[in-house]
Amino acid sequence: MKALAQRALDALFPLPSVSTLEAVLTRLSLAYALWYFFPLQMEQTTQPSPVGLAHWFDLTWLGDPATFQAYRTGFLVALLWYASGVALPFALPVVTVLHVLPYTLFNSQAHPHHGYQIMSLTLLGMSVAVVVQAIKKQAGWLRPSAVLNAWLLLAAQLMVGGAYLISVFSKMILSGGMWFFNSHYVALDFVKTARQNYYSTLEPALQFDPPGVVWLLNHANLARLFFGGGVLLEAVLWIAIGTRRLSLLMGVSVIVMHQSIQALMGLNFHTHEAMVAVFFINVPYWFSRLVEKPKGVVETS
Amino acid sequence: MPFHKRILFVSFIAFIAFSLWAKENYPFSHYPMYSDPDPTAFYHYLTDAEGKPLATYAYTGKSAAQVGKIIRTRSIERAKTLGTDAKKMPQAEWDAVCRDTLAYLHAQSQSNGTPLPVRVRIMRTDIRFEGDHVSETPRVLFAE
Repeated sequence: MKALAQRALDALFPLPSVSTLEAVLTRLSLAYALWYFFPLQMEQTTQPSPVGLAHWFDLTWLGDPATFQAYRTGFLVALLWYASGVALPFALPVVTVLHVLPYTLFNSQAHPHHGYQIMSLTLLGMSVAVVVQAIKKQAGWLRPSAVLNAWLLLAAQLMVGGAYLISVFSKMILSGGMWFFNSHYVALDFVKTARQNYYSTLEPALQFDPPGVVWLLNHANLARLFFGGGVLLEAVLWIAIGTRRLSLLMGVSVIVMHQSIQALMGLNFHTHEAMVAVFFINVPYWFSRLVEKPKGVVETS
Repeated sequence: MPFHKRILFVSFIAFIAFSLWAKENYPFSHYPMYSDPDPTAFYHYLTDAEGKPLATYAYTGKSAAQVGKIIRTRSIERAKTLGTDAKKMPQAEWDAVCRDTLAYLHAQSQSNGTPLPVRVRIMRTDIRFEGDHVSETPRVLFAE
């Protein structure tokens, strides 16, 4: 048993080999995703319930339309800098701060949104990794080193996998350990979400009873299996950190889960799907495999 | 265990522990959505003084879900200052939360150029599973 546990531990968190091509494609993919989801404008001119940095800084200047357009331009320049791969120990922290500030203001309105943390956290994890590697003189300034590219991938996966695991812990803590037993009641949230969508716009097409709710509530064990399966997937995603085939399998499963929730509840998880596609499905890696042969693991000190 | 694995394990555990402690402090979150399923749920929406529903997004730029979150966040903040639990707050305190929320929504709607009616109601509908069907019971949470 002890030997089995040791083998499992040994298999966890391999340091992957990341080619230059894969690293370039990853930077381009992440930069594109960050830009695609970045707000076009900020309408928040107050921060009535400050969170994060808004506890210490007034961020309402971002609500000025002209200022925010200049800010967006600055963010685009920072993304291009990051995508170029030059001086990442400076570029990544700059992109991270510029990404965090507007969403901090957005979430300081007393209605926290949970769509963008996964992107900011990924940047934060990568920033820590690049600074540590720079201190160890392993980063590479004009061109990121192989060791740095491997650590950036691991750091991103760690933050994405960690975010999913945090939600599992919250479910267990806030439900007093009863989440799996009570999970069939999540079906009631289908009704809640449908009504919230309707009362936001009063569009007649949104006034309907979501299908399957009573069936799920009357078939509690099947519903528990359905909802519990998704949470189990969130709980084990981190095991795929550093792997290629397992992370592909788990990444695809997570996106199927999100698409199922979107179909049932009308809630989308596009930012999560983007991060999972880049860092777990590893789309850049599989593209790079079309023109390159895979190499072994990275040697690091 | 190789050094890089030890670093990753420690970082991973520290990240999760810090996020659970920090709760909602962007970019950190403890992702509390759908964390405590039970046989009841509820949602909020706005109506005019006669009870006719108002499209919250069209008026205020806030969805009905966001209106509900504002009420929830403000009630938790108010309960914290009173040293109590939001569920145990006296009605007068809930009225104050709702009054402040509506003042905020009126300001948002005016800033958007789509002012809300002068008198608005906050409605709360409770959803329950009752054996073979789902019931919805609306009530006025606060009326201006």
